[in-house]
Amino acid sequence: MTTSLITAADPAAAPEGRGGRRRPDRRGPAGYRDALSIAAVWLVLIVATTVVRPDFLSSQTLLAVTFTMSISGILAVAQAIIVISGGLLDLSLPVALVFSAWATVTALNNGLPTPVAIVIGILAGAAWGALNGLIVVFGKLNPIIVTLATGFGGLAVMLIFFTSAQIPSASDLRLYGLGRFLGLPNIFWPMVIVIIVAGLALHFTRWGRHVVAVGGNAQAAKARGINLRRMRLATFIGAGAVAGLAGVMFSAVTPSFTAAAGAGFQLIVIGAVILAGISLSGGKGNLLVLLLSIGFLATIPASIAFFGLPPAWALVFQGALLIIAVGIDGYRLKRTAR
Amino acid sequence: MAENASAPQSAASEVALQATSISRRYGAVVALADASMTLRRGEVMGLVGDNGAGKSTFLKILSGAVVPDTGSIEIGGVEQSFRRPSDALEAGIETVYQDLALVDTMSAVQNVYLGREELSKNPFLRLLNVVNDGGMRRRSREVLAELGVGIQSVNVSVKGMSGGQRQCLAIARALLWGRQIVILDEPTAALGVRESQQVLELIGRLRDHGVSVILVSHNMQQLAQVADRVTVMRLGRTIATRTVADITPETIIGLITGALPADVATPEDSATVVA
Amino acid sequence: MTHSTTRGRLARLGLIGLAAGLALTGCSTVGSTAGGDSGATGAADDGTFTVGFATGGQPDADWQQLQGDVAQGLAEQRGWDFVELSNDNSEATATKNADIFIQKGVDVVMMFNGQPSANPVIAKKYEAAGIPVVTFDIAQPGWYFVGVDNAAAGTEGGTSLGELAKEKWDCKVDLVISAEGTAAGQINTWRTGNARDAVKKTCPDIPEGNYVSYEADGNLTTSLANAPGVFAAHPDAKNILVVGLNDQAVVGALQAATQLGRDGSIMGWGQDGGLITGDNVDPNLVGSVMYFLEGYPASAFEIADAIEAGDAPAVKDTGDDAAVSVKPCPVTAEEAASIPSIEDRVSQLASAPKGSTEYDLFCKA
Repeated sequence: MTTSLITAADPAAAPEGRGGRRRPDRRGPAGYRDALSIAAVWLVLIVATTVVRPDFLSSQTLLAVTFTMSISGILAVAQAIIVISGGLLDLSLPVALVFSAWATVTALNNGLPTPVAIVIGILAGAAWGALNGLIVVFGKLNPIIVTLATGFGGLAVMLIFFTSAQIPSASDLRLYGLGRFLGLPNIFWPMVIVIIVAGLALHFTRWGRHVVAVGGNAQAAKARGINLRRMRLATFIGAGAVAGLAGVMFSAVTPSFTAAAGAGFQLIVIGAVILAGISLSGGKGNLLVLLLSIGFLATIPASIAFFGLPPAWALVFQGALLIIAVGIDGYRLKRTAR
Repeated sequence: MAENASAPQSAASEVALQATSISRRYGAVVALADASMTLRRGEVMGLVGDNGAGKSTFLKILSGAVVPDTGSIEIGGVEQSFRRPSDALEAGIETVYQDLALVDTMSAVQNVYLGREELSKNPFLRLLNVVNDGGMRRRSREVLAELGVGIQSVNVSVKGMSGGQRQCLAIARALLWGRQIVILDEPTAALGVRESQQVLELIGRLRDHGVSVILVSHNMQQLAQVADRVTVMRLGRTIATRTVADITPETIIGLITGALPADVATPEDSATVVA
Repeated sequence: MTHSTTRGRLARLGLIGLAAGLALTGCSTVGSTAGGDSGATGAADDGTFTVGFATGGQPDADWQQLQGDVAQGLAEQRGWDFVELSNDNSEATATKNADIFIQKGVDVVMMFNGQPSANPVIAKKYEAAGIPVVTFDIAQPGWYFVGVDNAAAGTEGGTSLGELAKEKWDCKVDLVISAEGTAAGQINTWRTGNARDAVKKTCPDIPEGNYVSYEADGNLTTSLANAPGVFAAHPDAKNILVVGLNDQAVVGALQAATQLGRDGSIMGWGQDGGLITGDNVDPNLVGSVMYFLEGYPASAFEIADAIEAGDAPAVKDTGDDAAVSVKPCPVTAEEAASIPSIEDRVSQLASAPKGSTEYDLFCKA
């Protein structure tokens, strides 16, 4: 903020002239640029794989990629809401996911109707978010540390209550998890809906404006009469509810899961968010770019399989991607801070 | 929303804000011992004082960011009790801080309407909390044009804007929201000469619209150019209020530094003295 | 709000951490129980042979606590004194427990330590005190190693699966998928690699190109995320076999097959038996290999018997050359259903004749 003030010239006198020299920093084009660059990288991956294996472009690949996108996509929306609102990162999302999934299958195993079980799962996620939010807001603590702690604590508590949880194999939710709609896995569609709804809400509702403002400049938002505590709490609860939906979907496709089952999502979700240009410094992010980013990351394991690379490459790719994503974020920050 | 934006400029002697004997301490430190101010409708009141004289605490109290220990604030003759910034905003006081309170990642129009977004006219969308972007854009363009604030487009992120543009935007926001009173904290501190001039002209236009302005500045020339009166603070007290036309910058500096004693100068509440 | 780490915040954080630490310790306090009448306190002085037993204390593993129960039963059977502590899944506790056992003068220690980084230090202490140690599953030089024969587990699982393929498909297998857990290192090579080799041996005519591997990381979530691509990359494969590090990895592949509509003709054989019992067994998980982890103490007591008789065996301290290799038990899904629950197995083992192992009692292979 301070750097941009040190300009002696008068912009009001000659706005056109200045506009030409200044880096065009329109929101739209910046979003397009991120979208285009990720789409381009994704396309390169698809083309490269197709060159080696022309049968890559198949309905099986489409199924594989869309299925892999589904749960991490919903979870990435939860993470994106936290990051955009200036909450840094929620490291406890994998625990939120499993907690919600556990709540869902426990409800089903106790004979509750499917819609009730789904609502319970989503509410469990929201409650988890509320716990994090309350500690962050009233303890005035760094959300990364808080969610790291609640993540560990939550895992420990869950381990006390169950070693593994199972969805009833004949339940509607389980059958839903095995089904398809319009040729794609059923669970893919809730992810698309969540991304669209959350994306529209962030850009076109008052609530979304306030989330972005709190993330972009909390003091400015406060000075405009936005209640920071309420907003932070609300974003944690909202993100928790989204993670709860991810948990419900997770329980539908995972016949048996342990308390630690969410850990596999941590890296891909954080990687997707950063790759999508959702800066860890908050206040900005486009969920449609996030969708591209998730799609790209979900294509990688399929490409590895088509290339026939040794399995350890999957781990190498994951680690490299995160480093690259963080590097890109740092570069973006440096570039825009000039 | 902005029904008062172009209020008549006449009501010269009408009191917009009356702050009386405000004090505030932080533990053992007395940040503000006794501060008073009478701000009239459509006047620009300079507020000067050395660092630590209590200016910023006084401003924070007037803008609701800090709750005073004692004292009273009246706006339009009505006693106020500010517990938080939104209380002051509702009462019609807009504060533009040094950091401008703009969100860099948002566009000009989003910043202008931040915290008071207009909702869509469509009842269904309204229910969904959807904002009326078109209307807000139109209205901001109008007001910015009226105030002569030149920005490329209200849809542009404010990050790319110059300091002067940002300052003007923040000030224009006050008018758009129909504020009666605008507090400006060192609005030209980081600006070049020409940009400062733009801001000063904008302050003049605010006054023309009947808005009362409290202007904190260290720049005596600028105060002489734009302020009607000046209140001097020293050691947590408002020690003098003078009509700018009547005094020289040297007098003000003397009051600030203590070279001229407060009691020899005008008494604290000088509203009745200077007219 | 700011994220600056001021002193006050750090202090507050520290307090929270401390509270959390206390809470966690509270959840899994050192469980010191005594077998028989002699009690746990300094019982060694009366000359009775005393076993010190440290359970792992990992919260997600029932079998660790049950190992303690089994050991207690075996000690009672022999009229020995028995001291049980929990390592609480913590290096610090495991180290402290070593001091307690040494102070009590136990004659042999048996332990599972899921946080083995402290083992070299612990080994030094026991070496100085002259107390022999039996370790479960995690090797430490100088300690008797008791663990499941992972190499045999892989081979037997793979052989069983291969034989099923021979019987059902006449060894016409289009794809053999290995759900690897690279991070598990040698154990992955034994379980997954040996299973794959055993399939090869049983059905030698499967072309080399039909064998593929992917990273499942030993858990269902990762497996389910990475496996779909494997099926997509082999769109024409009909008859498919899956082996892997554990049941979770294999079931991840089977679930992926279901998602992609490729589950018409697929069979998976897991490891560790984690998902082969219960109401929700994947219909394509045709078998697994059970290790009866809770029964390890029966093998450890074979060593203790020799020590007590004054005839301590030579220390064999690696997985390749174990003091006692626990025999793995390959089971089909139907067989698994008839194996008693873990609690029943523990109580049956307690009343079984001296020298029985769970393999003897429950594995009909």
